[in-house]
Amino acid sequence: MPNKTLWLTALLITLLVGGYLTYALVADTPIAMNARAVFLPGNTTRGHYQIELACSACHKPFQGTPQKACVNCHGAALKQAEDVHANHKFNDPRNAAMLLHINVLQCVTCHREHKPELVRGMGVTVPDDFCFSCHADIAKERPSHKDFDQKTCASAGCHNYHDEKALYEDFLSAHLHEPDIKQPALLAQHNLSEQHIAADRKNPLNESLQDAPALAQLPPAQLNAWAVSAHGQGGINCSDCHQAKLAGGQTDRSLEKSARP
Amino acid sequence: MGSRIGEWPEAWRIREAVLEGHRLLPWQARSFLVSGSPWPEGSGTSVTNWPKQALVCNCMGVTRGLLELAIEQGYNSVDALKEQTKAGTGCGSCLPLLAILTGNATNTIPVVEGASKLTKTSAIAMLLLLLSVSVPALAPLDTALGDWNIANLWLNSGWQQFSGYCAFALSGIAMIMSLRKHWNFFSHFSYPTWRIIHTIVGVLALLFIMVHTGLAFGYNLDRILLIDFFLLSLLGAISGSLVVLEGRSNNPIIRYFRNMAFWGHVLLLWPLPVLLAFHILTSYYF
Repeated sequence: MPNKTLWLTALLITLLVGGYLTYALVADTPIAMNARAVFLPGNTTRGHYQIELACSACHKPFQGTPQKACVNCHGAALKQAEDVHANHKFNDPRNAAMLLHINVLQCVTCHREHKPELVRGMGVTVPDDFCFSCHADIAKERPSHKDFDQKTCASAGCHNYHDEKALYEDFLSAHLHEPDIKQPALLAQHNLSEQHIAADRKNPLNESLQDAPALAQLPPAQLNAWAVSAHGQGGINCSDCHQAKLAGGQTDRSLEKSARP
Repeated sequence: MGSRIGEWPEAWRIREAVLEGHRLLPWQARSFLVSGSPWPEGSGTSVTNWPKQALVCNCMGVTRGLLELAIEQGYNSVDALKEQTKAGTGCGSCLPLLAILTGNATNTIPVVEGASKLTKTSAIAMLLLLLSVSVPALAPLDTALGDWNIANLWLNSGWQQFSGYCAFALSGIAMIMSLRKHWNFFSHFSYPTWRIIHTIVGVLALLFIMVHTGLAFGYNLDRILLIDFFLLSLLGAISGSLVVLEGRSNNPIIRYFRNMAFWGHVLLLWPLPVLLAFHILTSYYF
């Protein structure tokens, strides 16, 4: 192939591919919006799936993702949650040094998008032990925390980076140095079988003891299934749950237990 | 057959193909319509039988007709032809053909300069490619603590820009090689020396790409770009190995495949600049 043809072909390919990509990047037509998917460097997190191709919802050309883009949608929820790591805390010079560990003023520090391989729960993209970047001395303040694994702050169900309302801190700090269970224990242990007085327990039932009305005509297999189930073995009979019908079609209330309020 | 269509140097090959029941593949049919032969120039017949417009020296674009003219004018040694037509002053793979044309052909196979280095760099490139496609993407960091971790190289935007631009610059340097054929400025190194530099720089670029990506293939445009780069590198490494093999055997099939690998290498280069441009542009645009 002559050199000129080679160069022209290369140029043509560049122009065609470049033209298509430019169109996809800047045009505002529905076709261009779909074509824009080619620029996705990775899927978004599940929460942002519906706006995945609405690039301008989060991105401003050559400005990355302004914090405002996040706050516009999530600001109200954070306010309602009384965000314990709100920006104003770190605008305080005493806490500002912590920003060197993690720049928490920017949502995207911990919630990076288009990085499916980094995503953990709640769209978090930093490793689970990130709390220890700033709270490494937690055991000093809270000796009870000294043996806790660094990765369990959130996954153990105690802490939420933004929303700590589920923790009643005043109560916790007032009782922090008391034993886990009062002596003697004031509340019964959470074990139903031990709470239940043996005499109150019902005897296991079998097929012959069932109290379904004669009209019901239950097949033996169904009766047997009940008898061997937790209901039959725990003494729960048909009438404990079902109401029989009388010949006239009315409900038979003769077996009814105490009526509910 | 010959009595009807006259002199046909490839008649024996056609006869053999008919006898063995070979099929005419689509590109061979096309080649037959264009050049009169189903096989690429020089893959089977002696260079003396090539048509006048057939390129003997791909690098300098010298045809057999021009060489014949030079020989008729008395430049009938390989050195004189090199001096006069510039043929054989590029990669040098056509020097045996020049020897045949001048009638000075010997059975000695020309020595490929820097063959062992070329073998090594081609092998390293293939090894790196094998590693890139067989090893799964490196796992993300499992801890946010500690000062610096090697994984930052492919997770941290700053380091990624560094490795990306290094690979970009190295690819640019490797591309200078193609200019060696056209610009005298680069001719103070011999072609085989440039070829070695080209492969070393290519291998380095590949290494930077592996660090840049953390062995992940990426998605969409990034993935297309990476696959293009990998295939380009693979064909480069293959053509490097075939150049070495060519120095050990006169088999025209090796020349044929080396040519194919080389053109594949060039072909895959074409979309690379525009893909790379958009990869860089969108990294800052979004």
